[in-house]
Amino acid sequence: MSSVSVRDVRKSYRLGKLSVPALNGVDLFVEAGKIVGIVGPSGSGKTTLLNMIGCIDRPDDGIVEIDGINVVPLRDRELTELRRSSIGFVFQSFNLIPVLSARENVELPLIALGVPGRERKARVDRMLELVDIAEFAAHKPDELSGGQRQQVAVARALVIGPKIVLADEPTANLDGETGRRILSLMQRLNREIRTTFILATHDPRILPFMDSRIYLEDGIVTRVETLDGGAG
Amino acid sequence: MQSGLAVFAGVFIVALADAFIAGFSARVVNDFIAEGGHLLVSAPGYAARREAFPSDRYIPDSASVERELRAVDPFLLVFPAIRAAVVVSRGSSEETATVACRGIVPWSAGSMNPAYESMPDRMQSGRFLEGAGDSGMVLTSGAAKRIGASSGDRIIFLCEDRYGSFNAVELPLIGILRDGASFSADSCFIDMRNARRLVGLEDGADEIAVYAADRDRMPLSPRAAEPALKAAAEAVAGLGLESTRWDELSSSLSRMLDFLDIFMFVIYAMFAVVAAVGITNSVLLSVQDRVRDLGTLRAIAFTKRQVSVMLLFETFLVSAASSALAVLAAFAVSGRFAADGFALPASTQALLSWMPAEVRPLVVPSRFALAFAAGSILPALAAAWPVSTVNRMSIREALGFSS
Ligand SMILES: Nc1ncnc2c1ncn2[C@@H]1O[C@H](COP(=O)(O)OP(=O)(O)O)[C@@H](O)[C@H]1O
Ligand SMILES: [Mg+2]
Repeated sequence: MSSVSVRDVRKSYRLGKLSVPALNGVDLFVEAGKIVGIVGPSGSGKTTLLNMIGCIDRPDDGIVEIDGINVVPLRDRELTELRRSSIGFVFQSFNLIPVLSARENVELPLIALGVPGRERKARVDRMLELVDIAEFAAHKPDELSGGQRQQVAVARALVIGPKIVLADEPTANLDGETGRRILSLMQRLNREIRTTFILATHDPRILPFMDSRIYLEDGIVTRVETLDGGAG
Repeated sequence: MQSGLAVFAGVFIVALADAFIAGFSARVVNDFIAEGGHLLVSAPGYAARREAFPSDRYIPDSASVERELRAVDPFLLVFPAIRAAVVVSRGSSEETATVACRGIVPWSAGSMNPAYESMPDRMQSGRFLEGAGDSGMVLTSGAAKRIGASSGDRIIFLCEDRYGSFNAVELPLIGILRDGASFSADSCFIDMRNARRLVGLEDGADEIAVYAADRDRMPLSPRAAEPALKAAAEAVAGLGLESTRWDELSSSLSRMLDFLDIFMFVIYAMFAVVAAVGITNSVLLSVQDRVRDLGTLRAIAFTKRQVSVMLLFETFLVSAASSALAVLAAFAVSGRFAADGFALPASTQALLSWMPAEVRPLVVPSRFALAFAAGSILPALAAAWPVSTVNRMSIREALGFSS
């Protein structure tokens, strides 16, 4: 589990000659081992911010620190290294590889890490158990329900034992009941594995699962709430 | 998958076409060698003006040359021959015909001369010269008709000899040959002893055809014959005579075969280019179809290079499997036609004397291996550009814009 610190991060996108600002100086701190929500309406910059923290994209300006180390100046290779060893992603539309079975999807990050076959199998089995999807291990994504796909995606994010899990609107493609089930799964895993979870969402139904909520609007942090009532 | 099908079709067509071309070339060369030998031994300067007969350049003592050649390699078949232009007529008739006459030895040391193996099947009536001691003449049907001759008639030969005087010889017509493609229409064949009398060469010959044969007396392929032919050529040079290889004897034939090689190479190259464009396109489509998956792979774990290797390896696997199947299929089809032969239309033989009646594909393992290698590697090379297009995208672009 890791702490994340973001300081004065700015990012804008080029759209032809236009420059579309997405983040306008974001500051935030996420304590290690917590579940933190980044909450804001569509277009407020949540995905952009997660991409910065997940080392998928670089800010135009500012600092992103993971466990006190600024990742902005790292080279592509080093970022890939960091992602594959320390960061787990759960995507809004699950992003499972359609031709691979649930088990193979979960296995992928371990293959990239060069984990030997026997150990790989053991870890994948344990992970599938942990997210309650073991009986569907051989199924392809299109043979699974939305909730089951997201369970597989969570298993794939967690199988490497990441320090941080990033989830971009993990419940957006799920019905309310399934969304709550996935969130309680994440909550349980957060307690069991002690991994930092950062979730981007605009789904008010899952707010109760967060230890703290960081409100984002037009690329600016407008408010921070923590569970013990403090607001800032 | 689509590109796998294209690779299969391309490799199959190329390998099969190549087997047919190889079989065709081998057949044409074999026919040519069967008719004229691997090597033609003659007096210096003879081969260059082979069409003027009787020649003033001849081999004075052909028997000793034959002995010398057999000493080089016991499997060399040596057949002396005399060529002359003669006027033939039936004893009682005024009608005459000018024919190209060959004095031949149809047998040597127990082996039939490969040039005349097919003759017995081509007789219209009577028989061809048989055995070493046989004598008489065989005439083509057109000339026989013109002078009104039939088998058993006695024929008068008139010929200018070496010394400029006219000689006449009378011989029985032992057989009439159907006009065929492999010798000029007005031809006759007579035994060597009488030919010598006719042209005034006591022990001499105009030329000696040399065949390298194996134990079963079949003429060898040019490559297998090479060592024996080298030794024979040296021995001939030692006797002050000239030797001409089969491919020098017919420069037009070897030029035609060379041209065929180049022509087929150009066709294959064009095939390769068309295939490469098609494969580039289909890999591009399949990669674009999966941009988000490839972005996901990079986001969660893999480097650009690992993703490229995966995609190229995928293309390679599909095309190697398709190529292997295609080569096997071409092998099977070649085998089928090699057993039955593929008949060429008769009109082509009428047009080109050297055109064989049928072709049997010849599987050359190294060329099939080449077709397989090209079919496996070329698609992977063709995939390089489309693969690099996804790698030029950032992960964020590849994952897609969603807000
Ligand atoms: N690839 C892009 N090109 C141009 N503009 C973009 C791109 N991605 C996001 N944006 C813009 O940046 C802003 C923030 O987007 P995003 O981070 O996706 O917000 P959210 O995830 O909160 O919906 C929006 O105005 C969006 O239109
Ligand atoms: Mg978003």
